[in-house]
Amino acid sequence: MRKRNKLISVLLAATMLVGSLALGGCGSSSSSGTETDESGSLTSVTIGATADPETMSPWGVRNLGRVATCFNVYESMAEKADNEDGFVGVLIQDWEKKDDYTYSCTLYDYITDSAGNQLKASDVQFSYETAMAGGNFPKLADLDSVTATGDYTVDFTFKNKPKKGSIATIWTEIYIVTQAAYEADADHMSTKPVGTGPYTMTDWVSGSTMTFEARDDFWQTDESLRANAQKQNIPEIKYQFISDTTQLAMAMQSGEIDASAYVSALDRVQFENNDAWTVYENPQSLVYAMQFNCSDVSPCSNENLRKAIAYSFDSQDFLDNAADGVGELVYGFGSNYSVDYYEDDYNDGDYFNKDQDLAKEYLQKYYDETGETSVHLTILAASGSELSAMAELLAGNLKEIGIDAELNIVDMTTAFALVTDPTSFDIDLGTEGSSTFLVNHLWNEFDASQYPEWDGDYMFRTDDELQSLYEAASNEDTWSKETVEAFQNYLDEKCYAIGCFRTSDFDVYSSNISAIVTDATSSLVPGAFTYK
Amino acid sequence: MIKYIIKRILLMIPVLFCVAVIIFSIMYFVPGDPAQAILGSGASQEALAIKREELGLNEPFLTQLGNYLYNIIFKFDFGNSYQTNTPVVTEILTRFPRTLTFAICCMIITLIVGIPLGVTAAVHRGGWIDRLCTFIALLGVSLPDFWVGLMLALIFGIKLGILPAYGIGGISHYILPAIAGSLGGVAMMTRQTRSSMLEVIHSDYVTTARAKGLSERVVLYKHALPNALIPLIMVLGGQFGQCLGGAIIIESVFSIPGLGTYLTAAVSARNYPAIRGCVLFLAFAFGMVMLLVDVIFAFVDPRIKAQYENEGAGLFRRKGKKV
Repeated sequence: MRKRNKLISVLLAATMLVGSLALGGCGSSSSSGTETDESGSLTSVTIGATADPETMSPWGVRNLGRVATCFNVYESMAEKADNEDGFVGVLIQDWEKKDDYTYSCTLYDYITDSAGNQLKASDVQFSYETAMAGGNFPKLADLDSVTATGDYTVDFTFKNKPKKGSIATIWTEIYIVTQAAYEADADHMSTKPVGTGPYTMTDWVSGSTMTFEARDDFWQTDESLRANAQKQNIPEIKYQFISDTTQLAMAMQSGEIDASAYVSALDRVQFENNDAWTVYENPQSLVYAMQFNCSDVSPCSNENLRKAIAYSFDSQDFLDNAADGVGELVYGFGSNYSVDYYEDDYNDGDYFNKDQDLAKEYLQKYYDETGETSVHLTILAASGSELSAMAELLAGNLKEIGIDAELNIVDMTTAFALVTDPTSFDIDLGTEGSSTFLVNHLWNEFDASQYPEWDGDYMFRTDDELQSLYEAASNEDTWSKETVEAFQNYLDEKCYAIGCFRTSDFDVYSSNISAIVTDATSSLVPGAFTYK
Repeated sequence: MIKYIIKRILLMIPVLFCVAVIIFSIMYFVPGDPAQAILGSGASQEALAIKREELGLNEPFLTQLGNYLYNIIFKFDFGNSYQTNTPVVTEILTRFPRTLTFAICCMIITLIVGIPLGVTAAVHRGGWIDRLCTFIALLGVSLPDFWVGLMLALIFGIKLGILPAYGIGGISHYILPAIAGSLGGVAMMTRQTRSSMLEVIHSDYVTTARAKGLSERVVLYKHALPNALIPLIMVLGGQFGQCLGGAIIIESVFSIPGLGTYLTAAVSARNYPAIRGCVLFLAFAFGMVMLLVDVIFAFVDPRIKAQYENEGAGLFRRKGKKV
């Protein structure tokens, strides 16, 4: 009896060991990057991403994983573009501004989803109304109604006169699905998406992998009309989700992943000067910036003190030491990722260059004005490596001109909460950005009407001139290079906010790929890649 | 014995209730706005206010707590994730098997490496083998598991290509994470085994066994080791609980979408239902592991079993009197 038990134990252990090793072998050999068919054409590409979408619901909370994958299945009315409108049509064939409050658009009349349902104007109305009810898209609060006015025509009416770029945001960020497909799924597509996009999702292991296959029946058959996200240059796209970027780089080196937009600055070195890989530096839309608490309770409400701070540091030092020199300086509160950022005009060589003598001069003016003899400031920063390093460098620079500063480094969500409390900080270091119009994203923070619960705007600035310049720059009728520049110049004059630098991400792709395409969010669009 | 187990399970109810109240209260008072985390920094105050209302965050603390406890107790509803709007129970149950597999693999490695090392060290007390085993144990405690994880991935996943270095799939995907995650456990098990074995190795019954002419292997593994098992089971139980709740770093390094990574993401996003659900689930799992440890005690040591039986019987007698 005992011998039999022993035998069984040994057999079980041996089976486990052999099984493990066998599976181990399978694990490594089965995972490959690009695959080819008999003719040698590529049939599959594997993309590395750091986050899973969590839900494939068309109107889920926006996150990195959704941004990286959902566009394969779902389509929005338009796609972001670097033109004056800020978009190009995807589902919309034509559009016009009807009056000050209303935009009207016409859909293609041959759009179908992967379940065979035809997409009509009523589906657009349904999609927007459901997205509005979900409350995950703050910009939709600007809309009064979305109305199907015919089979293929839809009116979008705003509550107030829309700002420049409002319609671009609304048309590019909301996915459209057919009501029939949405209601046919009890889960509302959270795991089984049905969209009008060029690919269908065929497999998803939550947190691990996701596979898309090109639709044979994709509605946009005219190749010349296809936007980037509508292209089908590869039959199958696989995503491998690896949260740790070092591990992701390792997976690329082992040939399991063909391309990724999430290679860190440190890891990119392994791929440079290597014929098997191409590294592309992709500037990010997020700007590392400094803003001042302008409420009465903060000494930074004083313009001279703000200027003393502004001239105490060098943005290049920040870029070199906080971001390993990867990125570039910016010369306004934005970056040239946005349509309305005019770097050539802003970069005139005197954008808050470090000048400690000037900084001390401004500090003395502050002392003279207020009768104070010392300053103690609190620097609030979110706990990212770059922002933390920036905060430490800034504190050191301030010390050099005689200003004491303490650091309050917290996680991003806590930082958002603390910013609403004027007693909790004096200087806010954060990352801000816009992939379309500054006036309608990043610069919203200067719009006091958005913050009715307290005096002033996001940083408690109460300045009528600032508000009026903002309104001129953001109003669709008066938006122009001149009004935008006038606003930026006033920001500099009053030293309300300082853009320091922006970083870069590194897109790395294998030699099987000739050229990659990214979208406005810097996500890879594998369907639009050029393959060898 | 069954009565004892029932008693222990019943005792978990107030514990879980207290955990639910504590985690709810902590998250309520932690700074950070879930609505802001969902909508981003650019959201207007109006949009934030609507979202807060929708999430029920504007209710007073006691109302929110009452609703939460009512839903858990009477509806077994732990709420929906703020991020995905799906029930957190579903999300937890999707991820838990991965964390459990990882924890079990860790335990297997801890057992098959830690116990023989500890026994060997005890048998060769003071000799170079003892010092070698102790050194290995010390190394296990000293090396950071994330670093070991990365090195293992680099060597076995990338250079040699014999084991998957990330993600989930077959049991092979858990080998490297389990090796990295069990280092501390192996070290602790080795030290504890050595210490327990040293206590029993010079006992009279071990000497008697030797005097009977039994082989040293039989003496050690059949007579000495079972009597040294009680503290080892305790260590193993603690390690198992730690692997369940503390797998965050290893899960991140090896991209295992388990409970640890889910919980950290939920904390960053102030996804309250997910955080509460995870903590409560882990508390329950830990309680069950501890119960399992106690049950194993009973099978290993008849004296403990007798004690449990008395306690269990006492519980029902007292209940009988009340009726």
